[in-house]
Amino acid sequence: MTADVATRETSAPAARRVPTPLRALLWVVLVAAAYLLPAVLGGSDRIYATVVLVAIFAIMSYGVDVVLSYLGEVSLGHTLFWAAGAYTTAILAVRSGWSPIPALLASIVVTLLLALLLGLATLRTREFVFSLVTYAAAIIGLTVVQNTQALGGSDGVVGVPLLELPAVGGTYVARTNAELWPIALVCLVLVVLLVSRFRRSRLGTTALMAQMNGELSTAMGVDVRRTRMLVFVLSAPITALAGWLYAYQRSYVSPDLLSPTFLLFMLTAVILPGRRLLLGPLVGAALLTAQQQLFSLGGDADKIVLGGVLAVVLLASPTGLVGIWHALVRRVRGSRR
Amino acid sequence: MSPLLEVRDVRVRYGHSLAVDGVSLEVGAGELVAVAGANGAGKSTLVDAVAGWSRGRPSVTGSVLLGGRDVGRLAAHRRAGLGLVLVPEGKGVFDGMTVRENLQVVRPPRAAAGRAYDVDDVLDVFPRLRERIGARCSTLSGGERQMVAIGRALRAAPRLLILDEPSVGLAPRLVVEVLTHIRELVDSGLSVLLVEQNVRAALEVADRLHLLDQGRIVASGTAARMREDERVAQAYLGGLGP
Amino acid sequence: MILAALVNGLALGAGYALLAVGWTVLLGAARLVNFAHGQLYMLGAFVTWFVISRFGWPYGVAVPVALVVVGVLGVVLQLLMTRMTLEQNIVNLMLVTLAFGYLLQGGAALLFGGDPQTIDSPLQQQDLALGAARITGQDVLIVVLALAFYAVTFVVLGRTDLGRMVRGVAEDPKLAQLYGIDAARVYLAVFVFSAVCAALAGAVVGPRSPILTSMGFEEVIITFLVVVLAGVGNLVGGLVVAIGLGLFTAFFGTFFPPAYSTAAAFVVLLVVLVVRPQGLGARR
Repeated sequence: MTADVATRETSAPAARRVPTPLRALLWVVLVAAAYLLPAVLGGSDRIYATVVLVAIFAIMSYGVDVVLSYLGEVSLGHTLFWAAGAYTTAILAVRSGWSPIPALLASIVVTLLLALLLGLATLRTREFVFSLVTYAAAIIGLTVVQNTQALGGSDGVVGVPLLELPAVGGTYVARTNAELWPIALVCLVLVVLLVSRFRRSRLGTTALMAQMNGELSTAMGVDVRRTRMLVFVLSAPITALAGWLYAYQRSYVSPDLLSPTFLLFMLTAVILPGRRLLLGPLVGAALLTAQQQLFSLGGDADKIVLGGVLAVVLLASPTGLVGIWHALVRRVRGSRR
Repeated sequence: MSPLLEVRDVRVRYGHSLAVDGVSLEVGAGELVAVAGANGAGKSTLVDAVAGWSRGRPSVTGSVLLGGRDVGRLAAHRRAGLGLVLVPEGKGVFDGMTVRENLQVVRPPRAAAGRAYDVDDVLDVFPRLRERIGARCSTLSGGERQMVAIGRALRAAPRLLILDEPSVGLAPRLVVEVLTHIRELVDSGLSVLLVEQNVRAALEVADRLHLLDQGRIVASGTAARMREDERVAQAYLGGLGP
Repeated sequence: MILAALVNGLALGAGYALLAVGWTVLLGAARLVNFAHGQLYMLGAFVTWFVISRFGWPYGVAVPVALVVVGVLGVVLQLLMTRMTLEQNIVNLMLVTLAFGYLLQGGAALLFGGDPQTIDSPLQQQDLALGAARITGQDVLIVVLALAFYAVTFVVLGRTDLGRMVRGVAEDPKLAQLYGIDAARVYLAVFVFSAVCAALAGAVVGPRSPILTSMGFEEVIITFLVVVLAGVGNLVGGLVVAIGLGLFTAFFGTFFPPAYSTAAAFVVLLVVLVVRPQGLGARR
């Protein structure tokens, strides 16, 4: 914990040294480069599918990141929001013919309600009960969805139409992963902006304070429970947005969205690069997706890889790859002296 | 002959602040050495470091020798097993257990270092505990809890007993009672390192006293000499207290 | 039908109790939330099955083998987590056990395959007609073991040096060091006990129905329902809640689709958490 704080303290002034207009320009260049990346890599559908999935899974992980990195709590229920976003979208689009934007709004409303329910139930409980309740909600959600015909049972909901958005001079239809890429990238950029905004917001700093020293922040008039609740509820729609995109990308939804695989993915994506990094979840999601899409060893072996990566990082360097990097830098500097 | 406890140049750091700044001291066999000083002088931090214990995460340098053996790298429970037993400031007993259980949970180490007290011996030292033997410690008074804390320390067959402010929060009459008990233990052969904020009370019972200020020893001497010392008199005895 | 549900509920509840007893002690003593608990249950069942089907050893030998295997695994896991446990880093402990659970599930799937298996226990064939209900020898074994484990745990915690050490570490691990107690060893003992209980539950409940390597997630939820409803560290409450939950599941399954029984119990839990955040059996 102390190490984390120290890292933040030392890196923050360094970041401030770059003037704001230049930083904005850097960001624009970065986004443009990201946009062109799949074309540079050959532009095959496999590449486009991979980058679209990276964007979707990164957005999904940002929801957990907000809770885990800044609030310091472990939400194990974000697969519920992920599935809720995807299922709401799929059901409304397939059965009621809703178009994407209203479906997205409905998804957000549904996940907000779910998060509110879980948040209220755990408002007064001890820290680990929050994790257990959210975990139970996700695991039980899986059984319930599998057995409820209204939700498509174990087959899920198939035949989600193409993602069609109103555009200048008609509509923009995403028929392929290549055409989906700009939309996914825009969503990702918006989410990163939102999280960056959150980090600087009152709520974000309050959450961090509550995590560092709950008693002290209570003494300073911070309502820790309210902060916890707000951050948790606000994090849910981020993951739901990813679910919305995923429903269109995959064109079907099924109960596997609630499986622990996605849960482990989200957590590992946040923890592997290091907690409390703005682009951390993106980097984590990129590494994990690349492994699963391009270097897969088969379902069960991939499970071992995912669980193994998370366990090894936590045991060897809880501050993630960044922690290892800092340790290396320190060692190099130390040996020069 | 080397002293029982030898503390050499101990420094304790919490983050960037230096709480103990190069303290060295010794405790001989059968001696009662007191460490006194104001709040925040570093007394507790010092003795915690000697016992290898802390509720925080300090970094400690320097060496601690018990009977000539360097114990500075050992964990607190290992040091306790060798007879270096600390009764910490404040909460020193398991509240959820009865007096008897608190005394029973301590097993004297196999190679018992000092005199081994069984539960009955402890009750002989603190007769008042006899009637409260079955009570949960959360229901005891402050003085009784302190007796249980010292009692369980005796059960560990200490060679050196470290007591951190055993009189804090006690009524003046009880302070005398607890300190008298401690003196009796020393007279029966035990070695004690006593932390005491109340310098006057410490001088009543101690053989020698070190005065700590801002993490450094600023004055040392036998109790008799320290009573005469002007600095001590001015800073701690003048006009204040009874 | 009522009687059948009652018998089934008792056996189920005793299985839950066996599953939860170690966890209650673990959570109370080490504040360690072990999300891999369900996978240890799964391994208890699968190692038993493996020993019977591969080596042809009888059930009565296979179960102890499974307990030893999972116990050794428990030693390894806890040794890896010792530093985290001593630092009481609850967040990272939850995350790392979650990772362990997932890892074990993937490993078991590779090792034992993805097909459902049945554990061949001779006690499963011995029935005792009880009116309209059927009670198997296996059910009796589960109930007896659960009661025995609770009784032993209760006595050990309350009356022995080991129990006092566990309670001391539970109350204040730092203070325990000053009592000469090695908290790391207590954590190890408690974790291994908890792992062996889970494995035993898996090995004796397993023969009642086909087993899959993907099981274990629901078992964690059930354990957690029992422990949180009873109040953390409340042993007697845990036994009562576990039996109650078994009966609830059995009766619910008689009248409603059984798939929703855990969900229904979960709804009960949510209500309890709102009304009594400390659990039903907690003092104060």
